[in-house]
Amino acid sequence: MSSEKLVEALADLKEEKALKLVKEKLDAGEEPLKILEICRKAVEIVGKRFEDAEYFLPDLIMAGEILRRISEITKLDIEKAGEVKYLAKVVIGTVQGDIHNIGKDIVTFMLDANGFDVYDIGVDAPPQKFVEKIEEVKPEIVALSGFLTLAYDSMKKTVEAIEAAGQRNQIKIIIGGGHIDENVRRYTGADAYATSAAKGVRICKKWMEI
Amino acid sequence: MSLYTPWKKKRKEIQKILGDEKIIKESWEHYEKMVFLWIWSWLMR
Amino acid sequence: MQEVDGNLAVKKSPKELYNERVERITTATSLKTPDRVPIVLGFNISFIARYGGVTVQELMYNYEKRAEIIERLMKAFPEADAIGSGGTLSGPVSDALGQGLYEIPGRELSPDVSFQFIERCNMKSEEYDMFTENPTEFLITKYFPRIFREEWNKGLTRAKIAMMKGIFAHNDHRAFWGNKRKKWESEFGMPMARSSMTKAPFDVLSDTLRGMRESSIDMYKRPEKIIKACEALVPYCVMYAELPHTLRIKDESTRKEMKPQIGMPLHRGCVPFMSLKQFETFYWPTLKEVICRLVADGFICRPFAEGDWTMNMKYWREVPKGKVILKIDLADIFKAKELVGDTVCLQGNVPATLLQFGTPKQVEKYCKKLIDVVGEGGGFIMDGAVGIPGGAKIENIVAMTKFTAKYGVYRR
Repeated sequence: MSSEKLVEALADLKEEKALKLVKEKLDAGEEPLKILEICRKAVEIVGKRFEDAEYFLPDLIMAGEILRRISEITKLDIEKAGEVKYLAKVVIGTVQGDIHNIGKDIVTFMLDANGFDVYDIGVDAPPQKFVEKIEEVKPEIVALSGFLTLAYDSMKKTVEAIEAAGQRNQIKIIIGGGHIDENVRRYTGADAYATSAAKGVRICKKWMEI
Repeated sequence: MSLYTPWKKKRKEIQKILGDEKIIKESWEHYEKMVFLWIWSWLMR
Repeated sequence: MQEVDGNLAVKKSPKELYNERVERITTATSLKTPDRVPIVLGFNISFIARYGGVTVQELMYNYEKRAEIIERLMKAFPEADAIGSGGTLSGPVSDALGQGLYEIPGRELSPDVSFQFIERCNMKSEEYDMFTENPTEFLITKYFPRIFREEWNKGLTRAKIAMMKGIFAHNDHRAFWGNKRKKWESEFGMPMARSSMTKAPFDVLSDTLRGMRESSIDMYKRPEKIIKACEALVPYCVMYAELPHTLRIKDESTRKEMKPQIGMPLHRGCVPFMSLKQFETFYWPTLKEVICRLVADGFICRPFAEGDWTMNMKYWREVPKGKVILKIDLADIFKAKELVGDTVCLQGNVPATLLQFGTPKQVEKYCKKLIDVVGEGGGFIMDGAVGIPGGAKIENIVAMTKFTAKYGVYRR
């Protein structure tokens, strides 16, 4: 059985069809890891379609939902399974005082779809939590998300904490959110800013020189 | 129907009104509206 | 923070000021040229706290303190033609009910940040029909126990007492701000920016009922249920906007009546929150219906296009002319003028970052462009993109208001 059908069903967000194909493959004795590889290929396509404004937030969420159900069937964590070679590690979180997750979740999905190994530390994340995660996973990139204008100060504090921990030289820091511009970047001391997930991913890829 | 217990429905439940129905009706509706705003204030945010 | 003395050169009576301001906004709304570009200052609660030197937490409980700071702001910026007072969530009401829709400063959040909405699903997929058939029944029996969980988990008596306390607290809150509104109109001649509010039916469904995740999946799995629910919501959204006006006791004075403006924060309609096709299917038809019904009943609608609505701008050509003020956040307001400027009055959009990090000169430059381009021929109201955010520099608000009051005069 060809894997193209499953890639297509997944990328086209045909949930029942995709699940049926996965079950068929499992019944036919296909390695779960092979199925996960196929899923990654589909996620890449979904990410590309989002970048090209063919897909939008509900479509990303639906893709995530189908993947979640495939994980249930195959009993494997799609995002962390297999011998995937990642471009780089990214620690991402919404900064302290801000509990908005939607922007961060889009970026997480898009980074993942583009081959980054993403560590999401959630919302309202204090500077120390970033520092600890950086210490733990040694990422190349740290992404700070914030929707509210109060996030500017938290971003600044987070960058300062990273600097104080002696981690600043080893990483690139990108900030993102709706009300973010060059003024905010300069204020916070980050290396770059992005107002959309696609722009953010482009910058991260450029940093990894690809 | 937007109000939960509109006067038409309530009127049927009251056996007798010896006085002015309008007085009762207006007050009834006033508080139906107040409670409507209260309930929906928990969705309109 | 430094206090501003904004005294006006010419002293006018509050009544004269009120009429003048209302006239200005009304004229701009109907797409004509007033004497000058009107200015609206929607103070965010975190800005009010910073100006007053208190925490946001205190402002959520101490209404008197909040009102006093707002009065100082009205004196500091007399060029404003209407103001916003920073949101309606009350600390006492929240606590009495144990509400779980928001995280609150001083409880889950640090005392100096604004309260924030919690993204969560409060309606199960199998409950669509129940909601659509009888929303009130659903809200009382299913929704309230979920959003007031903190109290409802402790038994029925505790839950009922929580409701009673919540309504007492709500009434105090409502009466307090109702009185302040009257006082500010009669003593300061200052109108409030919005007179009541409502939402797009889809946002009601997506924000508080199903949540972003579930409502997105529903677009695939049960699209017809979304549409039915949104249609069922239309009369409720209209009524929620209109009732406060029928309940508000008519003011006896001979002041000009400002046509009530219905605030409508729009959350999840624009690209990339959904595609244009999804927008046309799930979002726009019922939102347009709510707007048209409100306009037919004599109201002005003031939708706040949160986020970047550039891609969705063209749809606003479909609303009644001169009856809608479209508040612009991140959308290209200059392009909006071209596209929909002959249908809706545009309000906005001095960027939050400019107000916080810019210089007065930069603010003036942006305001000049707004006045020159968007203000051309009327139909424009000056405002911040997200009102006046917590970090805004005072000198930048002074620059925005003083410059607009001077440069924004229309030559006759």
